[in-house]
Amino acid sequence: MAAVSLTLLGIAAVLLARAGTPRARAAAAAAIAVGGALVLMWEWADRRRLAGPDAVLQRIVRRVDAGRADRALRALSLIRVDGGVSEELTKLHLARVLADVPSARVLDRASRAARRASVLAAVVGVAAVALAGVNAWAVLEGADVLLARGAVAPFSMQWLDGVELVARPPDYLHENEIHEIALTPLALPFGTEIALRGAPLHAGRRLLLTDGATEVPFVEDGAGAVVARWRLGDSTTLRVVARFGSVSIEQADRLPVRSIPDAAPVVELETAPRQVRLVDEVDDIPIRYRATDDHGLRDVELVLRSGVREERRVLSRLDGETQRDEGGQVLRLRDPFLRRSHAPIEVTVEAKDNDPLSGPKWGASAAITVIPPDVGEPEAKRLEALRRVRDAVVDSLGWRIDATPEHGITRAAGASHATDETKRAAADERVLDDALVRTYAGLTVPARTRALLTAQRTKVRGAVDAENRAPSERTHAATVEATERFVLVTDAIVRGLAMRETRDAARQLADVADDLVAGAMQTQADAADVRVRGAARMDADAAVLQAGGRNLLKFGWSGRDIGEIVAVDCLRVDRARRAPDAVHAELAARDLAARLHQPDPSFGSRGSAQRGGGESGGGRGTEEDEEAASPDDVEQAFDEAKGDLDRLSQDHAGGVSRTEQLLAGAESDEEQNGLRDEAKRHAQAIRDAARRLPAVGGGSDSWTSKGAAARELAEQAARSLEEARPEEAAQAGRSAVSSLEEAKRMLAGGPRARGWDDDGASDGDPKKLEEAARGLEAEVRWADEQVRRLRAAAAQRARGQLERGGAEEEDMANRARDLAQRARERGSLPQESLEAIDDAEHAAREAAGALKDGDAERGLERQHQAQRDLDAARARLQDDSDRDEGDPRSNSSDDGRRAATTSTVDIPHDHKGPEDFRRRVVRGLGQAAGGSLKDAVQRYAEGLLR
Amino acid sequence: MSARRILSRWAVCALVGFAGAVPGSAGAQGDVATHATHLIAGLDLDEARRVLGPAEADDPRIALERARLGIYEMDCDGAAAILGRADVRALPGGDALADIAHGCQRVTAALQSDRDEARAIEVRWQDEGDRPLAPLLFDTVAKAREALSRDLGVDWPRPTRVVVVRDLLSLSAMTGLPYDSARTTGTVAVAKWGRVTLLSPRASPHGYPWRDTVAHELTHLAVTRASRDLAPLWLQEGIAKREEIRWRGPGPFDDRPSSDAIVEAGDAMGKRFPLDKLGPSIAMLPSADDAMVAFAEVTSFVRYYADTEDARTGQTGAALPKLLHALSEPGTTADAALVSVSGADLKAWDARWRASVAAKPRTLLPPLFLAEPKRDRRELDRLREQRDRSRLAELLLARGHAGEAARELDRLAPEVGATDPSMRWLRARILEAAGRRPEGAGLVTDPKQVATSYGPWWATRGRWARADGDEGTAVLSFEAAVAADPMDPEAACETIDDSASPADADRAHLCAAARSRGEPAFGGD
Repeated sequence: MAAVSLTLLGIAAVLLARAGTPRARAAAAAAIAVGGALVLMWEWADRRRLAGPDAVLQRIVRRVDAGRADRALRALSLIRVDGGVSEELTKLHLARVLADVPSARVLDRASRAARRASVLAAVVGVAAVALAGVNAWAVLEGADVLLARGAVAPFSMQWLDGVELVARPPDYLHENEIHEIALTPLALPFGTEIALRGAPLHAGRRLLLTDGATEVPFVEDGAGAVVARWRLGDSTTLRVVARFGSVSIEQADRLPVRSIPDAAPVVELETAPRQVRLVDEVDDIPIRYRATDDHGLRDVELVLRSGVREERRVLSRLDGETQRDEGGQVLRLRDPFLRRSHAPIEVTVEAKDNDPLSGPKWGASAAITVIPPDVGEPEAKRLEALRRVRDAVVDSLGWRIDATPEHGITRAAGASHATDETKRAAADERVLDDALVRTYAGLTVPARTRALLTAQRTKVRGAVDAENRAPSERTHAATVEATERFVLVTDAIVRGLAMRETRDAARQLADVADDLVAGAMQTQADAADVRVRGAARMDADAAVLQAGGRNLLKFGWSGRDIGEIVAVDCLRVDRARRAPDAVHAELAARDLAARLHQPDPSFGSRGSAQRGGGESGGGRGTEEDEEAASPDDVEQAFDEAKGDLDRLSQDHAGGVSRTEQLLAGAESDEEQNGLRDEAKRHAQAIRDAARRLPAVGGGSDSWTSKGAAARELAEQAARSLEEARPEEAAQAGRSAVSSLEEAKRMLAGGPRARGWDDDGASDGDPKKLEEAARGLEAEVRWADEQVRRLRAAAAQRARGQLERGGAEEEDMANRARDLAQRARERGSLPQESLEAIDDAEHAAREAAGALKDGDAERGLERQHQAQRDLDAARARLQDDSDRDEGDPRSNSSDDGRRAATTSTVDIPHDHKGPEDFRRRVVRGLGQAAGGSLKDAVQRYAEGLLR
Repeated sequence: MSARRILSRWAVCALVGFAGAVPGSAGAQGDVATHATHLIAGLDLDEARRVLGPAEADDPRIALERARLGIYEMDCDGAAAILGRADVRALPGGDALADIAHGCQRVTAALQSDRDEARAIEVRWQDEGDRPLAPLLFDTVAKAREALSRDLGVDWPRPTRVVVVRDLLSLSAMTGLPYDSARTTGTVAVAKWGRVTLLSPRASPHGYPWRDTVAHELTHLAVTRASRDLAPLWLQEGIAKREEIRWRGPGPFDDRPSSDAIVEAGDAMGKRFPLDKLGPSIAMLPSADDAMVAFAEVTSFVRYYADTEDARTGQTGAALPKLLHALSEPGTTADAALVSVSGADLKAWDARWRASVAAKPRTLLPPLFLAEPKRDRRELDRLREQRDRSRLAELLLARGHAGEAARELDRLAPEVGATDPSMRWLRARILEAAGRRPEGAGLVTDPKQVATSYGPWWATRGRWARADGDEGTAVLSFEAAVAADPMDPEAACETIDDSASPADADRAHLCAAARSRGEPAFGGD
C-alpha cells in the first residue's frame, strides 16, 4: 500500500517538476521526499505496534474478546512475578488461558482488514498506472527536468525528425547556399544565415535552436514542420532543445559550426618596416603597396601620422568586390606634411574592406617611419654647402691676388700660371656644382640662387679663359675682379639666405612653442592622465625646440640671436617644470612662442645707422637690417634682367597672337564658303575613319580610353571642318592621331604588361587602329593644306599689316639682343638663359624677315619658335619651390581592379603658366568672334593680353 | 625725516582714518585710491602699501591701485590676478595696466635674478647668460645713484630694480612702449613702473653703451621721484642726457658730436622740435634721426639752463634741484616752476637757448650722423666700394689670407673710413695677422681719431697697449670695451688667445659667456 502510494506521489511530482521553474522543481522534489519519509515512518510504527504478546493481546485480541484478552494479560503478568508462584503452574495457567482465546474470530477479523487494505492499494495502484500511462513522455521529461543540473537536463531526447539545414552566406559574398540533411559539422562564413527545419516529434514542446547563450525559437513553417533561423557569429555548436521553464532538454545530435570571419585586409608596403632619416635622403620616398582582402576592398589610403596629427590620402577607391589592389605613390621629401612635422612620422598604407555586417575593417601595413630632420637642419646643411663654395672662392681670390704679376709676365710663368688658373677654376666649379645639385633632406638650392651663382661662375670662367689666351696684368686683374664679384655675390647669398632661413625656422618653432604652451596647460589639468599627456607633450616639444635652436645657431648673426633665445627660454620652462611650477612654465613657454612668432632681430633701428637715440641711449641697427634695406646690386641686376625678360616674353606673345588673329581674320567669306562644301566631304571621311573606334573607354590606362578619346577628337575635327575652321580641324585631327598612336602602343604592350586586365573581352585590333590613323592623317594633311592656302591668301591681303608685324618682331629681336648683352656684362643671368635668349633673338629676326616678305606661314612658325625660346629662358630662372608643394604623385589603379606596375607617374614639367592660358584665351576669343561683337571681343582680347 | 614725508604720513593717517570711519564710503575709497596713485608715481611704494592696506579691497579703484603697486614691486602675477576683474579693467587705464601686467608676467616667468643686498639692487635676467654682467651692473647702479643724489638731491626707494631683457619685444611687453616705436627709434632701455628695463647688450651685434644707459634710466627714476612724476619730457630727457655720463669720469666720446652741432644740423635739415611738443616719449618719434635731434635739443637746452642759472645765482649745481623741487609742489606747471625759480618761462628760455646755439661756430658732424640719403652716384659708388672691400678683407682674413686682405683695403682711398672705428679695427687686425702690427699702431691709438665708441676697437687698443707695456691705457681701454660691447670675446677676455682668460674672476666669467656665443671674429657667418 505504501509503495503504491509512493509511486503515485512520485508520478505527480515529476509532472509538477516538468514545469521547469525552480519552484515547481523544488515542490516536486519535496513531495517525493516527504512521501518516502511517511512510508518509512508508517512501517516503523506498524512494526512497533505489534511488538510483544502484550501488544498483540491488547491491540488485536481485545478488539474481538475483551474478557479473554484481559485474562490472558493477567496470566502473562504472573509469569513476570518472582517467588511465591510455581513457574510451571503459571505457564500452565497461561497456556490454558491462551487456548481459551477465540483465535478463529481473531483471524477472521484480520483477514477482513487485510482484504480492505488490498482493495485500497489496488485502487491507488490503478490510479498511478493510469496517470503514468496517460503522461508517460511527460513523466520522463519531468523526471529529466527534475534531475537537471545547471538548467540542462541530464538525458537528451529526440525532438525533431527529418532535419534539413540550409546555410545562406551573406549577400555581399555572393556565395551559394549550402543544404544538409543532417547535423554534421560545418565551416561557414561569418554572418551566414542557418535555417534548420524539421518535424517535431512531440507536439506542444517549446523547441529552440541554441548555442548555449542565445536561443532562437522554432516556428511553424506552415507545412507541418518547424524552422529556426540562426545568424552565424563566432564559431559555435548549435543544439536543438526543448525548453521547460528554465530547464532545457537537448536533442542528442548537435551542429558544430566553424565561423569563417571576414578578415581585415592585408596590406604589404614594400620595404616596410624601416626607418628613413629624411636628412640623409636624396630621392623621394617610393610607396609601393599591395592590398588584399578575402572578400573585397573598398578604399586604400596612405596614412601619415605624427604626434597628434594625422593625414589620410586616398590611394584607391574600389568597388568593394576587388580583392587585390596594387599601386604606388611617391612621398616627396618636401611633402607639406613632412615639412610641418617635427616628430617622427609613421607612414602606412591602410585598406578598408566592404564588410557590411560588423562594419568595414581596416588593415594596416607595417610602417615606414620617417625621422624628420630637426627644424632648420636641412637649411643649415644647405647653408654650410654654400659657405664651402664661398670659402673655396675666397681661397681662390687670395691665391689670385697673391699671384698678381708686378713686373710683367714671362712666357714660361704665363703657361704655368694658366695651368694653375684653370685647375683652380675647375676646382671651384666642382665645389659649386656639388652644392647646387645636392639635395638637403629634400631641399635644393633655389633656382634663383642657382642662376646667380652660375652666372658668376661663367663670368669667372670667361675671365680665366681670356687670361689664359692673353696673359697680361690687365687680364689677370679682370680675373681677380670677377672672382671678387663671385665672392661678394656668394657672400650676399649666404647671408641673405641665413636671414630668411632664420625667419622660416623661427616660424616653424613658433608652432612647436604653441604646442608647448598647450602641453603646459594640460599639466595643470585636474585629471592625472591629462597631466601625464601634457608632460609627455612638453618633453617632445622641448626636444624639438632645443634641436631647432641648435640649428638656428648656424644661421649667422640673426640665427644665433634667435637660437640663443630658444635655448635660454627652454631653460626657463624646464626650471619652472622642475620647481614644479606649471603656471610659470606655461608663461615662459608663452614668452618663447610670442618671440618666435616675431622673428625680428632682437634689436634693430629702422633709421639711419650709428647712434639713433631712443628712450635711452639709442643705438645702431643690426647689420642685417642695414643690408636687408639695400639688396645686393647683383641680385638687383638679376631682378631687373628677369623683369625685362618677363616683359619681353609677354610682349612677344602679344605679337604672336596678333599675327595669328591677322591670319585667322583675313579669310574672306567667299573663300570660307568655297571651302565649306569640300570640307563637308572631308568631315565625313574623318567620321568614317573613326567609326570603328570604341565609343566609350574602359579606364584611363586602357587602350579603349585612348581609342575613345581619338574618336571624340576626330568628331571635333569633323565639326571644325564643317564650320570651315581647318586650323582647328587640323589640330584636333593631329591630337586624334596622337591618341591612336598611344592606343596602339598600349595594345602592343598587352594587358599584363600594362597592368590592366579589363580588356580581356574586348577585341583590340592594332590593324584597325592603324587604318583609322592613316585615314585621319590624310584628312589632317588636307586640312593643313587648306590652312596654308587660306593663310597665303590672307597674307596676300594683309601684306601691309604683316610688314608692320615684321617690324615689331624686329624690335623684339633687338630687345632680346640688348637684354642678353646687358645680362652678360653684369653677370645677372645664367648661361642657359642667355643662350635661350640668343636663340629667341635669332628666331625673331627670321620671323621678322619672313613677315616682311609676306611669308606669313614661316613668319608665324618662327615667331612660335622665338616664343618657345623666351619661355625656355624664363623657365631657367623659375624657382621650383612651388613645384615642391604640389600634390603627391599617385599611380594607384583607378578602379581597383587594375594593378599598377610602376611606382611613379611623371608629372609634366612643362607648365606653361598664366601667359599660355591667356594666349589660348586670346586666340580663342579672337578667332571665334564674329558679327557685331567681333570688334568688342577683339578689344577685350587685346586688353587681356596687355 | 623730511617735511614732505611727515606731511605725507599725516595725510595717509587722515585718509585711512576717514575711510575707516566711513566704511564703504565710495568717496573715501576714491580719495585713498587717488592718494595711492600719487604715492606710487613718486615711488613711495611703502607709503602706498600702507594706504592701500586697510582700504576696501572690493572697490575697483583700490584694486586698480593695488595692481599698479604690484607692477611697481614686480609682483606681476598678483597684478595680473587683480586685473582679471572686469570692473577693474573697465576703469580708465585698466586695460593698459592689464597689458603691462600680463607682459611683465610672461617676460619675468621663471627668471634668474641676482641681488646685491648691501647696496639694495635687484636684477632679473631674461637671458641668464647675461649674469656675468652683474658685477658691472651693480657697480654702475651704485655709482649712478650716488651721482644723482649728489646732483639732484634725491633719495632712493630701495631696492633699485633692474630687468635685463633679451629683445625689444620683451622691452615693449614690460613697459608698454609700442613694439614698432621701439624698433623705429632703436630704444634700448625704459625707466617706467619704478624700475629700469634694459636691453641686453648681447642683443646688438656690437653692443651699445649699456652702462651709460643704466645711468640715463636711473636719472629718469630720480627725476620722477623728485618731481612726483610731473617733470615734462624735455626736462626728463635733458637731465637724463646730462647725468648719464656724470656717474664716471669724463670719456673721449662725451658730447661727441656735440649736441649743439646736432641741433644745428637738424635745424638745417628742417628737424626742429619745440621742447614742449615732443609727444609722450622721444622713443615714439617717427625715426631714429628725429630722436637723435630731439635728444640733442633737450640736452643742449638743459645744459644751457643749468649753466646759465648756476652762473646767475652763483650756486654751482643748484639750478636743477631747485627746478625739480618747484615742480613737485602740488598744482604747479613746468612754466610756473621755471618762472618761480628763474624768473622766465619756457618760451623765453627757449628763445635764449636757440640764440645761444645759433651764435656758436658751426661744427661739422662726422660721417653717417644725420646723413641724408645718398643720391650722388659717385658717393654711392664710393660707399659701395668701401663696403665691398672691407667685406672681402674680412673674408680673406677669416680664411687666413691676411696679406691679401690688406691689399684689398689698400685699394681704398686713404680717407675712406678714416674715422670709422670698425674700419680701423679691421685694418689693425689684418696687419696684426700679417705680422705687420707696427704699421697699424696709429690705427688704435687716439680715441679722438674715431667718430664713435666701438668695443672691438677699444679691445684691440687695450691688447696692443698691454703688449707694449702700457698697462694704464690697457685697463682703461678694456673698461671702455666692455662698457660698449661686453659680449665681444676680445673685449671680455682681453686677449685673442682662445685658451687664455683674465685673472679676475668676474672678468673670467664674462669672458666665458662671450666665448660661449661662438661668434666668429671675421666673416664666418
